[in-house]
Amino acid sequence: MSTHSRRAQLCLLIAVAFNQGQAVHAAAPATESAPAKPDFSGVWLPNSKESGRWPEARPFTPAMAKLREQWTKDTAPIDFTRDDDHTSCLPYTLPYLATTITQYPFEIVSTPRRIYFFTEVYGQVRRIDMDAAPVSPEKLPSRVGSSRGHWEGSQLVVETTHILPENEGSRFPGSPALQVVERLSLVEGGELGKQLVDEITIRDPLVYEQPITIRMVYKPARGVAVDEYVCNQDIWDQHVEGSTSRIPWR
Amino acid sequence: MDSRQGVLMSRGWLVVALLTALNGCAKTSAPTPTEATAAEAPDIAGTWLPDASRAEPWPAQLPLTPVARGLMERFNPAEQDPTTFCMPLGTPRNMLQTEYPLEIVQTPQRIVMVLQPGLANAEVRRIPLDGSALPEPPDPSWFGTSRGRWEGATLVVETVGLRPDALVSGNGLGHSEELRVIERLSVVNDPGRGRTLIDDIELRDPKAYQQPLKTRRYFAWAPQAQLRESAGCIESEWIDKTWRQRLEEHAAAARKAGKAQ
Repeated sequence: MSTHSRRAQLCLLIAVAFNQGQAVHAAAPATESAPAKPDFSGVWLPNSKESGRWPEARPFTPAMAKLREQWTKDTAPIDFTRDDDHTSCLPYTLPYLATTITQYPFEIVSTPRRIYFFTEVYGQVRRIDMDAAPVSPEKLPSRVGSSRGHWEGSQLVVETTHILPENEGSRFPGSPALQVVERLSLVEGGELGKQLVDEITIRDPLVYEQPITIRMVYKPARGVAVDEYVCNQDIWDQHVEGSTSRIPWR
Repeated sequence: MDSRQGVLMSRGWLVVALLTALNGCAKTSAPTPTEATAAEAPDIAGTWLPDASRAEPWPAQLPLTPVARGLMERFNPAEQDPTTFCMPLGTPRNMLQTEYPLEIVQTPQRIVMVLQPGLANAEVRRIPLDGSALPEPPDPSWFGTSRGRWEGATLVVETVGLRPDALVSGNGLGHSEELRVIERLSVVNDPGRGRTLIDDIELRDPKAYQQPLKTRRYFAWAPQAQLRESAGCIESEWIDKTWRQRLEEHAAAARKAGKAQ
């Protein structure tokens, strides 16, 4: 992971240097999106200053609060260097995937039928199927869930369900009822150029007593490439480098 | 792959086989590919399923250099296959495999190829079509650094900068850091089979091969197929181990506490 962090930091530095050198415009114009709709294509980085945060006290249902308390009791002592899915290389789930503020960029690629989000961290792929039929209740859940999108004026509205629930002990527990609605739009961000705003509403009646809304702001990251990211790379590197003459041309 | 995944996989393949059969029976709504000009490239976007039955096998005698041959003869998958450690297949192994679907994202500026073989996570190949030169020397990575161009209706993709610890195939066929992968992708309407993507793959690597290795893969058009995100390998191989270790520590701590009382 350290190699990737270093690389991402380098990218960030380059991006910052680039930002200082010239005004950054929004991502390259798309040629394939429907006309008159904003184009979100391009590379984005979370704007930590302008993005919202999860509420400190989350409105857990009494049942969920009890479950979490019991889990903490049963699992103690917790060592988050190991007892954390993501430290152990399991990718993020929604909504955390969208609300986390990292130094890693993500890229949006727009095509008429499907809008893709490629995240650098964990190399995840979100697919937003435009004007698609409702997702079959039998579809298996996944960490990024199943997303459908439609335009409301200049806003892209994305509804995601079928998210693989994190357990009650997770920092962001979920249930099969979890639904995430995102309203994406471009807003003027001064010298940063157009920023991408994602108004995220998290509804999960089995976990939260009321919906949680978080407003994320992403700034354009022109000149930054979304790199490949292999979380368990270090394990393999140690294995290979600790061995002798298996790969003589290394 | 654990048995649970195996069951899911076979169920998935049954659906896929049915869909493929249906595609073959009925005229699909897929657009007929046309000869592309520079301005009008054929549509290769969407989901494609590798056709294992038509995968060209390697020749019995591969023209390997003595170093590459020695490595292949001494190959120990438990120690030397990155997938044993949940690492990616890498390119070109991800294009040569015949198990997992390939999704192609296409815009005029670039092609993105996505495969999700259930190892670390998605394997994403980014292929700019902007006419820029390949970097020299490239920074080695699992999926390499690629550039693509349309030659008529054929997409030509060149990839360099591939990690030499990745394999070309699971039998120990490897490559050096000098590997250059040249792919020629085209879509044809195959009578009886329907819309088909052909990938002619050439591997040039003077350190590992005395002459270029060439093979071909066929992919069936499968618009209904879905790539499944899967961290199955990480979950079963990695988390299980972590948790087993943790449980053992808890048990040892409990035993110690019991003795102390």
